[in-house]
Formats: sequence, structure tokens, C-alpha cells
Amino acid sequence: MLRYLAELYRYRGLLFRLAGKDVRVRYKSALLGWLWSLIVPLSISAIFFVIFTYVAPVPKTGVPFFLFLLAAVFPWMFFANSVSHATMCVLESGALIKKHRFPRAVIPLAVVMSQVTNFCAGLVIVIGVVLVHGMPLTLWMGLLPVAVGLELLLTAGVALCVSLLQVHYRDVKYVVELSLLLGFYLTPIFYPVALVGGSPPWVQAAYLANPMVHIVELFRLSLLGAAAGPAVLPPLATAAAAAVTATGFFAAGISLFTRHEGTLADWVLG
Amino acid sequence: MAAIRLRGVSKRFWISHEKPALARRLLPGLLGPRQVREHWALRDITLELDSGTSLGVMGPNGSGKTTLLSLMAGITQPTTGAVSVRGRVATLLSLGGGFHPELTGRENLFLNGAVLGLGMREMRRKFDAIVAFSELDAFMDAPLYTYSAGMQLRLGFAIAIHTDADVLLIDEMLAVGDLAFQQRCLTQLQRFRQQGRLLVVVSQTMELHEQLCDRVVLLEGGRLIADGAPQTVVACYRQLSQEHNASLSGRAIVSAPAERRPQPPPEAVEQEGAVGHPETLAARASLPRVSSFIVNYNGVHWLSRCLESVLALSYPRDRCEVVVVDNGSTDESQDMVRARFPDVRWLVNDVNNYCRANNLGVRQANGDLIAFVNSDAWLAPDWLRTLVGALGDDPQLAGVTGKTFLGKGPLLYSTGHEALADDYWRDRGLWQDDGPRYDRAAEVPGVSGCASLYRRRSLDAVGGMDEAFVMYYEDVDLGIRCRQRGWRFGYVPQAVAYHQFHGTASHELGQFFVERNRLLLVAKHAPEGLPGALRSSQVLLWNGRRQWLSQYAQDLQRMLRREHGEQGAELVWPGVVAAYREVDRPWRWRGAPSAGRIMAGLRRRLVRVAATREADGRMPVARGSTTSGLGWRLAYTGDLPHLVFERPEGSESARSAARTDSLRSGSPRAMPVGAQL
Repeated sequence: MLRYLAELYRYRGLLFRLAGKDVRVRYKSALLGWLWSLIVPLSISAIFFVIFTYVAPVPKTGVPFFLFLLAAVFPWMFFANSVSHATMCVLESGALIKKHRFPRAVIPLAVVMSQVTNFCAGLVIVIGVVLVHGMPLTLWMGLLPVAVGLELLLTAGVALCVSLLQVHYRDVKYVVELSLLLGFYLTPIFYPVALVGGSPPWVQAAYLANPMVHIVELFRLSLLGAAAGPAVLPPLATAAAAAVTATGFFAAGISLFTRHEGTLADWVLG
Repeated sequence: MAAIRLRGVSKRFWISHEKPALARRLLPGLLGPRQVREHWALRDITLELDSGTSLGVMGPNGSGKTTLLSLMAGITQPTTGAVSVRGRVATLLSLGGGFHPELTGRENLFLNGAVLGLGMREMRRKFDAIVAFSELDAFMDAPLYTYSAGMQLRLGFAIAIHTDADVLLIDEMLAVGDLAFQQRCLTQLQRFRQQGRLLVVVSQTMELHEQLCDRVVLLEGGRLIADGAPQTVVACYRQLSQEHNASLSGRAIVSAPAERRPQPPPEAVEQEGAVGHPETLAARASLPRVSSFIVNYNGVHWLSRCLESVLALSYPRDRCEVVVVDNGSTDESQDMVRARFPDVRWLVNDVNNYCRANNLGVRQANGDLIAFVNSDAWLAPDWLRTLVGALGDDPQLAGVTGKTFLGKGPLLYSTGHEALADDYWRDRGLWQDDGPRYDRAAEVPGVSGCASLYRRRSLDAVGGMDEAFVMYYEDVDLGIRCRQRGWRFGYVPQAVAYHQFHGTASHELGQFFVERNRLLLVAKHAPEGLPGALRSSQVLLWNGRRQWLSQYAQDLQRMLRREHGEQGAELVWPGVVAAYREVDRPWRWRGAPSAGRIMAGLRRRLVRVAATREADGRMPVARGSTTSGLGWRLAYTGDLPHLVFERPEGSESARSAARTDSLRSGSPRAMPVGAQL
């Protein structure tokens, strides 16, 4: 596995080229370019703000609700977009895989990488809004790189797993679509995680098994500080849980690729 | 040192009309198993390529050329066998592979460079040279979808040739470049080879092979059927293609122009024989009687060509009987023979065992000389006459064989047997060009059963073929036993025959029996060498073949008991068990453990246990027989091993077979043993 990671590192040039290609191809013809990709999470946040403030109010925490939404929507959108784009990427890269030898994991990793620019822009927007609101940036801000790193690791891991599984089981993409849809509700995006604290223990345990719960909590904590509301787990445990699940997924993804690397070319399309 | 080495490489693909689905895996009961069909794109390819060579690869569409290149490039892995490649590999396997249509030429160059493993700095350094070679400076900033095929080739070739690779693999494409560019490519490729690097080119352009390559291989149906100088192999390919088209237009496949005309009636043959070989009636009556045996199992495709050549032999028909011994075919062999060759005797064997079929025939034969001809072989008209002459000249000879070509030539299949290291035997001259070495008559340790003539007296003296061998190596064993009694074997280059390689027996079947019978041969004649033979076994080292170990143990045990008695067998067996343990070492951990790997390890362990159980003091017992999963297994009736073919339930072929079987009530399999039709 380490040898595979070293091989991946050797092909980092290809990783960036492929990611760059994805970004360029995606926005080449669109008028507003990648601004579009920022409008989606912003408008989702806006609509949720209206609904969960006026139509079906959820308990509010000590921070402005719009910021509360933004701090979770951007990390979630990055995760969901990366995973859903990555699902088909290996299967559909037959032209590349059947004609060249390179570590195949580069392909899903490049898809994740191509979403990073949007994600960074999103984070800048959140920080900007925080400052405009006149909220102080707390020391928790130091956790932000940790949160970003873990989210990248987790997203890459999940992307690796689903892209490879999709090659061998062509219905994985429906499973992924469904999971992302459910995951959106099972992650504290438009409600504070403290609400879960009142449910029976098995519900809590199942809920906390979702790795994105911890990632989103880390982002809220680092961007908005402790005012974001009480948590179910203490900050250190949240970070640890996120780290363990993210590393687990990544290791699983890489080991899947190590094992199936040699015969992938026989199964992909094109 | 070889830059690329392929050892016994085979590649299997699974073909299915349905896409694989998770739902089927999770709910197997509800949806039933997926129906898949296997397709062997490559079979048993062994190649060594040194640096400084340029190899051409030819063959019809679908013969495995691209798969071969993919394996060399490391794009995919072989199903069995091993591929090793030294040095950096650059590939040019398709136009626009690794290009994206919406990116500009420049962006694509960098992308393609990255795919080929070039660093940024290296790429920048070479950029100008690449653009200059491609002559596309004016189009560098235009998107790739505006490029023509020729322009894409220019871009792809320019970058591939500039990668400083040690190995360059190119698949069918230079043809779209213009003349000037093609010439520049040729020059570059020639220089590439002169720099001591390895070039492999797949192309249908014969001139390219002749200009560029110093060695060419020809693939057909995944097998390597010719390997040699470009001119020879190109000629071979031309012939192959012509025959293919001829067979499409409804003509029978025939080998030599002389056999191309319709089969003359028997009288005409007699007359012609009289003209060709003037001889008196008395002289003809003094010619020995010959019985020729052709063992058939579902070989209708080959059988007609074989029988045609046997009936066209320049040997008096009344001195030569032709017998087909059938191993229970389920195809149209019998109908075909009855309709087209009414003079041919048809015998039915009780089980599917090649050796038993031959013995059965010999027992009923009326000739003094016995010719064994495989159903996928065919003979030149003078084959028999020449061999009979040779056998008559020397009473010490037990059998003679002629020059047997592989398919239609020019490569050889057999000129007798030859012993190799580690108790392996092979046909002398196999895969080789017909050279002066093979133009001399010679003494050989044995003759191949695919087309040879034996003296009946010697066959009777040694008791015929050993039926434990089923097929393969039975002729080696026959040779050894005849020589033990002071007989000898001869090779006569003037007698020419042809043999289709693996025409009727599948590759896997052949491999199973070659390895099994090599071990049996050792067990029979030199049992003390058995542990060593197991350790040097080439087949057992391949993971996919370990399932055979259990079956081999049973066969070896029977052979040891039969030949050396209970006591003799027990002397040898501990050594065999020790060798088994060593050969079948449990799997080694590599990377993370997985459920699949653990299961594979357990399965292997189970096979080993079955093979070596009760090893202490008593003989182990291998239970059950090995099913390959591919439709055949070895079964025992008493002490007689034989083949049983099975089709997977519910497959299309099984259904159609069931249909034909029910149509043909009173099928030939119901006939009593040895019944004559």
C-alpha cells in the first residue's frame, strides 16, 4: 500500500493535469464560469434560511442562522459533488485506462481535486461573511486546516471506494445517489447536532456513525467558534472520530485499488 | 538480458450480456446467477524479446494482438503465466488515447506527457522538439476536436518517440499519416532500435513489418502460430487469410494444391497409383497390410480433411484399412463419415480415453503395420509408402515417423521425440523453422502419436498403449517400453504430414494431461525421481492450477501401486508427500488481508489436506475428482481413467446439445463396445 502511495506521488503531475482538465472542460462553455458552482450552495443556504426561519423554524443557536447554514453547506456540497462525480469516473475513463499504464487511483483523486477550488472559494466566502457580521474569529480557527485535511481524506477515500465498486457492480451509482440524499438529512446541516442528543442511545450511535457528522461539526467549530452551539461529543473526540473514519475510508479505497489495479482495464467501458 | 519476457501467458475475459450488479450479488437466490461466457484472448504465449529488436505482431482481427500489447505495457495482468518488463515503457495504442477533445493541442501534450509518466520539467524541456517533429505549431492552441486523424497521430507519435523509453509499443496507426510523416516515423523507429531499445509494432501493413522488423510473430485465435523472419511469417499470414476466405466461400479447407480437386472414385486412385508407382501385381501383393487408426471425439471439423488425405494415400487401398475409433462424439462425425466415406470402418469406444481407443482398434486390426493418425492431422500422399519402406528396411525398428508440420507449415510440429530437462519431453523441432538438421534421417527415442507408423509385433509385445495415460505422453511411454526391449525408432524426413496444434484438445485440457502424464511417466519408470519431478513442475507453480494437485495425487498413487506394488509405492510415498507440502506452500501475505484472499488460502489448504491426509504410515487418499469448472473432469471406472465432458447447466450450448441428443435417439453412444457400423 505504501508502495502504491509512492507510485501515486510519482504521478502527481498527472493528478494535477487531470484535475485541471476537469475544471477547464467543465467551465469552458459556461458563461459565468465557476461562479455558477458557488451560486448553488449560496442559493440552497438562502432557501433553507427562509424555510427554517419562517416556515418550519428549527431551534436556533448563538450565531446568525445564515452563517450557521453556510458553514455546513459548503463542506457538504464539496463531499456530495466529489462523490457523485467520482462514481462514474473510472468506469468511463476507458480511453485512458485501456491505453496507458498509470496508477488508476489518480482518476477519482483528480475528480476530488477538481472540486477543491470551489471548496476553497466557499470557505473564503464564509470567512468573509463572518467578518462582515462583525463576529470575532476565535482560536478554534486553528482547527480549520485539520477539518479541511480530514474532509479531503474522507472524500478521497469514499470517492476511491465507490468509483472502483461502480466498475464491478453497475448499480452502485443508485446506492450512492440514495446515500447522498439520505446523508444530507442525517448530517447536521440545517439543524444543530444538539437536537440528536434527546433521542434513544441506539439512534445516537447510528447517527454518529456517519463520518460527515463529525466533519461538519469540526467546520462549525472552527469557523464560528463555541457559539455554534453545544455538541454531542467533545471537540477532541469529534476530531478523533473524523480522523479514524477518514483514514479508514482512504485506506480501504487505496487497498481496493492496489488489489484491482491490474485487471481494471478489462472491465471499464470504452 | 531480455527486455520483455512472457512465460506461458494466457488471458481470459468474461463475456456477458448483462452488466454486473450489486443487487445480484446480494440477492443471488432471487435473481439467479449471471450468465457469463469465457473468452480466451491469449493462450499460452511464451516470448523473449531482447533490447535492440523490433518485433512485428500480425494476425486477423480478434486474434489477441492488442491484448498482447496491453499485457506488455502493464495495462492489464495475465490470467495465468508471468510477464516481466525491464525499463520504461511508452505506448501508442490508439489515436487520441489520453487526449481530451476539448483541450488545446498544447494542453493535451502536457496531459499526455503526464500520463506517460513524464515530469513537468522534462516535458517543458522537450516541448519544442515534440512540436517541431509534429509540425503542428500553428495548431497548438486549437482544441483537439478540430484535429484530423493524421494530426492526432502526429501529436501522439511525436510525444511517444520523445519519451526516452526503453520499450515502445505501437498499435496499428501509422497508416493515417501522410507519406512524408510515415517516412519520418520509420526513420525514427529504426533509430530507436539501433539505440538498443525494444520496439513492438502491431500492424496489418505487411510492408511495414518487412521494412522495420527483424522478427515477426503471427497470432491466430489467441495462439502464437508462427514466429520467425518477416518474409516467412508474412507469407504464412497471407496463406492463412486466403484459406479463411476460401472456407467462407464454401470450399473445403485443403492443404496442398494436389488435394484441391474433388475426391476421385476409388478406381481412379488405383489407376493413378499405378501410373505414379509402376509395379507388378505380385509386388503389390507383397506390400505389408496396414491398418490406420484415427481416434475421434467431436472432431467433425477436422475429420473430413484427415480422412480425405488418408484415402488419397499412394498406397493400394486393398492393402490398407482405415478405421475411425469414436470416443462417444456428440457432434455429426458419424453421419458425416457414413455419408462421405462409406469405406471407412467405424468403431465405438466405451469411454472417452484416447489410449484405450487405439488399443481397441489394434486388437481388431488385420494389418501388420499400424498407422496412428490424429483426427486433426492430415498426410501427404506419399507419407505411408515412404514410412512402410523405411520400416521394411530395418527389422530393428518398432516405429517410424516423418516430418510433421505445424498446421500448413512452414514451422515444424514434430520429427520424433526429444527429452528435455526435468523429465519433460517434447516434439523435436516444435515451433522451429524447417532447417538442414531435419533433412537427415535419424534415430529418435520415440515417435509422436499424431502421425506415425508402428510395427504391430512390437505393439503387441509391449502390450499396446498404457491406458492410464488417457492422452498425451502415451507415445513417450510407448517409446521407452519399446526401447527397453531392444527396439528402436526412426525419423524419415521424406514422409510429410501436417498437424493442427491443439486442434481438438483445448489448451487447458492439454496442460492438465501433459503435467499429469509427465509425473505418471516418472512414477512408472523411475519412481525415485518423483519428488524431484514434483518440485520442478512448471504447471503446479501457477496458482490457478493447484486444484489439480489432488487429482494428480490419486493418479500417481494408482500408478505407483500398479507398477511397483503396495510395498514399492510405500517406499516412494513419503518423499512425494514432502514434495507436495513444499510445492503447495500456503499463500504468503502481501498487502492487506482480504476476505477473498483468506478464502483462497483456505481453499488451497483444503486441497492440500485432501491430497496428503493420512500421510503418516499409510497412503493418502484423494477423494473425489477434480472438476476444472470448465466442463470436463477425469473419472475412474475401476482402474481405468477417462474423460467426462459436462456443460454448465442452463447454458445455451447445453440446451442445444440436449436438443440434438434427443433428436438422435439410438445415438452412437448406445452402441456396444467395439460394434462395427
